[in-house]
Amino acid sequence: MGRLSSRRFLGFALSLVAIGPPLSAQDLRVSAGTIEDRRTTGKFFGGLEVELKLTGDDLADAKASRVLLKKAVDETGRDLLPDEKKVPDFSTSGGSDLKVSLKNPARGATTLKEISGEVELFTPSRDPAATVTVDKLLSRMDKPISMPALRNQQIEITVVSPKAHRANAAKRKAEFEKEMAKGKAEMEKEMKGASAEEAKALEAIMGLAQAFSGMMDEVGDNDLILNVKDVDGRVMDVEVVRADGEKVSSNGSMSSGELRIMNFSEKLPADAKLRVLVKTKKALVSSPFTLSNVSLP
Amino acid sequence: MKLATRLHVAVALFAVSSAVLAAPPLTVSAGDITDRRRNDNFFGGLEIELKIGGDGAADVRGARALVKKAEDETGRNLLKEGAKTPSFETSMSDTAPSLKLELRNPARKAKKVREVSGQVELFLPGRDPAAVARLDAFQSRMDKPAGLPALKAAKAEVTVVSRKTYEAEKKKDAERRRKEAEGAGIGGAMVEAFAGLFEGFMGNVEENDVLVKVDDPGKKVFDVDVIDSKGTKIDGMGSMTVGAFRILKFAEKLPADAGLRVYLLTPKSVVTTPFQLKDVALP
Repeated sequence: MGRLSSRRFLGFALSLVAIGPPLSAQDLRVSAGTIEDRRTTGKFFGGLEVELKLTGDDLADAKASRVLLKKAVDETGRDLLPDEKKVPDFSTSGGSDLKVSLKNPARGATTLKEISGEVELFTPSRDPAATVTVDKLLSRMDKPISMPALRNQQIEITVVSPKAHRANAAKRKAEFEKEMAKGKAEMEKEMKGASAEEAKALEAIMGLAQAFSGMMDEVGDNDLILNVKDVDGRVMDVEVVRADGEKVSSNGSMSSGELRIMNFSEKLPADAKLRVLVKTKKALVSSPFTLSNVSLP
Repeated sequence: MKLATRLHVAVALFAVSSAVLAAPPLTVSAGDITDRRRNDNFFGGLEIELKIGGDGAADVRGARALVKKAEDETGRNLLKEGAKTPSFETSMSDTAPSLKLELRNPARKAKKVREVSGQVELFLPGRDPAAVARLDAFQSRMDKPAGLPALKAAKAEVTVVSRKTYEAEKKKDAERRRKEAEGAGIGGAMVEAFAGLFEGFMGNVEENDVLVKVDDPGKKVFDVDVIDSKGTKIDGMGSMTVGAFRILKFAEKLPADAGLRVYLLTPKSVVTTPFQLKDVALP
């Protein structure tokens, strides 16, 4: 246990050295958009959601963005930051709007005194190392792709053949069921005293999760199956490109753990390449923001 | 979560003044309250759940609430302007339906709703034999109006239609829409889009589904069930209503003697009772 902890610590320290603080943005402005204060006596779906609108030249080449909140208080001084301190994922939707989820302000509060933090943009064009292109994708089935550019970032990607994927289905199912049982026990603990309707809703959610897990086993003939080992979470996105660099449009993708399945309606070209976008220090730019006295609806 | 539980209890205490209905004893109390406040004027509003309880609750097959007065403690009127009369909510299994009152947002500084009152209409088919009409072995009576006395009394008619009739209705509807679109000056591909609306809504009819045409100008037909020869409901995969048609969806083939049970809103089966909630705490 002690060895594991020190190894984790070392990994964390190395990741700090490798990624480090993002560079400062030159032209990025943040303003408040739609605000929804959903107040309920029920147990679910309550909270304050604030849309942050981003504008400025730095957005032009950004492929993803996220908000790291540092402070959120209403005019009564109530701290609105969520109890769970979770670093949010980047949003790759390409839009210039981000949403932050906070606790409900006081009923009588008419303004948010302050919301502040940092907006981070992922701009791969700022760093050649942030884009790794893997040639001859389809000839690399079932063995890890050996490339220094990936290895240096502690990323290991394997293109999985449908045959190998189907063979692993039973193992994945067993792992999933173990996770579900653990999750259910935690939820039941959490749901003590919940109404019958809420318990039913939870059962339905668990059922849905089970149904979705089975979907990962069903792969189409043209789908691309990847196993992505990325302990430090540096892979921002993966996409398939043609020999000339043009992106091959996918019908969507699913991921669960290390497994990613990208759906394609047509057979991939024989010379298809994989483009891996990596969060490197130089590709991240950040901009502090402060919004004051934001009116509450 | 603890705070939410406390609020829930608080609401229940404030709602003790719930209305007590005529026998069988039924009560109306406030359930969850959600105040959805937005600065873009979309989807906002106050929603108050009404719970119907008491010994007779299991017999309530449908219910709706008509609000006459709703104001917060600042005196703000919470009634929505031009609100439509709500439809009846249908019960799920043996529990009375929970109702949701849709109101305007209270003032931000208001801590409670001073009063919400009105009346609840409850559909209790067990109180009137004329509220249930039964058509046996409908598969041998395809495309023939049921012609049941209870339906006639309600000035309604129900016909289980064959796929052939359904296809013909689809064509007729497409033609009607095409003419309407052309009459409105719409041309080209848009005409076909309008004409195909019926197909779009109702195209997905599977082999085991039951198609029921309901002619019900007075809106008295509350629900239609498929039952076995003993009168037990055969559970399906849900239903949809488009225009005069109800599509009852089934995964498996129905027994040859399956029947239809039609619930009708009759004066004796609909019980109206006032409700009044006072000082309902806001979240």
